[in-house]
Amino acid sequence: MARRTANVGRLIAGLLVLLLAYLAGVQVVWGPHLAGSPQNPRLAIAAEETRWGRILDRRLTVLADSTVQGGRQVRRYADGPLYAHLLGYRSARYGLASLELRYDPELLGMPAAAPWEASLGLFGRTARGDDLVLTIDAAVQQAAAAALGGHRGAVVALDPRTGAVLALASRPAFDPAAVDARWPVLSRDPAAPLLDRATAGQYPPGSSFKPVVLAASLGAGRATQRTTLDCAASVSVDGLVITNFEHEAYGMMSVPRAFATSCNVAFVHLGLATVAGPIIRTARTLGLGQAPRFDLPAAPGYLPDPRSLGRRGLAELSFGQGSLLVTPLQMAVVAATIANGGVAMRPFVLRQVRAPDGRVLAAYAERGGRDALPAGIAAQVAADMVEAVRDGTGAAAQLPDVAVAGKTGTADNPHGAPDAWFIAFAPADHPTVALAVLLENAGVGGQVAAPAARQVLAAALRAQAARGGRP
Amino acid sequence: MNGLAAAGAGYSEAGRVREVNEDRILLADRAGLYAVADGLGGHAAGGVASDLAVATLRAHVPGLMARDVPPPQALVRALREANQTILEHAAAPERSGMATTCTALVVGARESVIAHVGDSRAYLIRNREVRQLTADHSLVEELVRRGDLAPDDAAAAARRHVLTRALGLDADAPIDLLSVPLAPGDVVVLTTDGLHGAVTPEEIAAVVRATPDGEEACRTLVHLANARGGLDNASVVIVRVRRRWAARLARVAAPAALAALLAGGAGVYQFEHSYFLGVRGDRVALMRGVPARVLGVPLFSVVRATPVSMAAVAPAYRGRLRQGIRVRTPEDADALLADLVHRP
Repeated sequence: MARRTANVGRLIAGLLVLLLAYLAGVQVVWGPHLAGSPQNPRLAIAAEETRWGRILDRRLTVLADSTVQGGRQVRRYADGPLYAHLLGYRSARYGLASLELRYDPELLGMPAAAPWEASLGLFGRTARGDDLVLTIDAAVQQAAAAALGGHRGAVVALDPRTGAVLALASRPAFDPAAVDARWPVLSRDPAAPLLDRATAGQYPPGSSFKPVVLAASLGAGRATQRTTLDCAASVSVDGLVITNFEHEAYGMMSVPRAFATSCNVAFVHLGLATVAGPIIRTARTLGLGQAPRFDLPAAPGYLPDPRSLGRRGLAELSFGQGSLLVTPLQMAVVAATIANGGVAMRPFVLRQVRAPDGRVLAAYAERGGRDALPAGIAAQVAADMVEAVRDGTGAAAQLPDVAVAGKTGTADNPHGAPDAWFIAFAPADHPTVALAVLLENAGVGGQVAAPAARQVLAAALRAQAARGGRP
Repeated sequence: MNGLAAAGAGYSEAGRVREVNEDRILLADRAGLYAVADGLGGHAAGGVASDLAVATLRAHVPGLMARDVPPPQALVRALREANQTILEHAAAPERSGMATTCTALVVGARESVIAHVGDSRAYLIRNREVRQLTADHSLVEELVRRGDLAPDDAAAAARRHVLTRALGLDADAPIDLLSVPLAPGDVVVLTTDGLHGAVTPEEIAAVVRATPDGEEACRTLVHLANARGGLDNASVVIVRVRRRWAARLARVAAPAALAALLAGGAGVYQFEHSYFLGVRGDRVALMRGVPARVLGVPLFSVVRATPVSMAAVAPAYRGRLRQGIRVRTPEDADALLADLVHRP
């Protein structure tokens, strides 16, 4: 009898332990996930009762706030479509998108909300969510949007030292406040205005991939800066004929000149000498072919498998064509990594979370980085990118008084005129801004993307100078 | 035997202008004895006079009543004694002219009584009514009583603080004695003129009704008087009258009451130690109190202005500053302010 009692006691104790473990699990392990889950009814309730936090740029300019109209809270976006893809929208019918979705718990003040904060209602004050301060600089964002002009395309600019995104623009855009009314039109528009081309648009990089090929060749010891390459008008690889842009032919030239003139034939020779393995590996360590960890969902692009590539595939890869796909965000990170001595800083856009009264609750100076290229290799590629702007295809990106490093790309695609690329950073000797510009079906990178990049670089350097050089 | 018990609470503060508090309050629940005294006279001598009045009441009244002296006689004998003592002390040149008002209440087993000299007051709050029990022994009140001054003009009269009677002025100062038939639920409020000069009887009654905790009600009233200028020392005693068994029950519930008292005290402490950033002129300023007004009276005061102009504050935070941003300490305020300034 006593034994049976002891067994029952053990059973009860065991159940209690299980219960405690479950409660601990709910609180500690799954708690944060559950709290932020869109299925959490507390979020929906808080959304009804709480004034949404605001979204500010790095200078504390208000990008999004809310007002109450007819007893209903309405989101206001001060600059309309300017930040549409970055901030997203709050639609009663179509839900949340982008940062509005990603940081909804913060904007509703959920993670920090203690029970006693509900008593704020006693003072007749509406509960307010926390504000987001972004790394975005409104002046750079405006320059990026202006640089895109009427083109479809994207600009991503970041600080290579930290990974802080200064501008993230995609065109065509939409008015995030009018999503409910305009959804049928927006969602069927063949120009895909709802698509964030900066993070989710996947394109062949064309010659803007050459810095990756160059880094791989130098890193694998298959070439040095003094290696000479044959820049004939064309080369045939297993029956695939590759020609230079406008069939130019320069004869034998050094690696830096082949890079500066963006000679496809020379780079096919360089790629064939390097072989696919090192090129794909270098591309992967630079973040291509995988979804970047970022505040917003970002597309992975595509890197071919080096084992199934073949010589023709390798030849195409050598000047950024074939099955290869990249996003503007990924290419901006490539530029930033070369600028930052080979250290790839993780791109991020959330700088601070602030309580409604302005108190800084969380601040991020950077979100981590990793060695992607040896510093010596990064420095050589950077030097060649400087040459490409000083006396090469990227000349249109030159700035007075500041050395710019860059690489053009003119990517053939099956959908019409080539996509124009430019990746760049400045000032070349101590870079504080790196970017990627993509203009869909806009033509030659050096003619349209490089001048666009120049405007954005200039705006970013001006803004940084006004901040006294603080990152 | 009507079986009444009393529970008193009181609070007294110098106010914002006077450096010293010459008001005194007396709380003695066991004896059912309560008083306020407002001392007069230069060089802090007023404080000596009010001290003497309160100390004499405390020393004599409970003993006299214990020897079955009826409360009216006990109060009058104690106040005569106090008058005499003050006159003796006032013989010292630096204390000449010192005097004090005194309004004292005894809630006795058989009867309750108020003894009164000067312009302190006793109010009775019963149900929804509030009534002033005492008559001010001031020049203007005497004029009003004689019909020489309209009551409406009395409040504005320049010499309304001139007393016609006080302890320490005259060897046989007449003492008003009022018998007060109290019932359970009644509240007697004793005030000095620093309080009732700034807060109306209706407001006193409203605070007493709204604030079950006596201590908290007293502090609220004094803070309200301070908020309206705080020109004088302000004191208040609130005496709640209950049935004796209710009083016993209350003693059983003492731990709970203590907890409530601590919570109330914490609330007041919070108020006193609350700071916020606000706007004064076109500059950011550190304020004490809470960013609100009651009947147009601010519940805050400026601690110091900062060198930061509103133009330097990021537009995103200007509106919030105007509403007041709470800070824990003045040091916190500086750190927070650095986060609010506009960055180019």
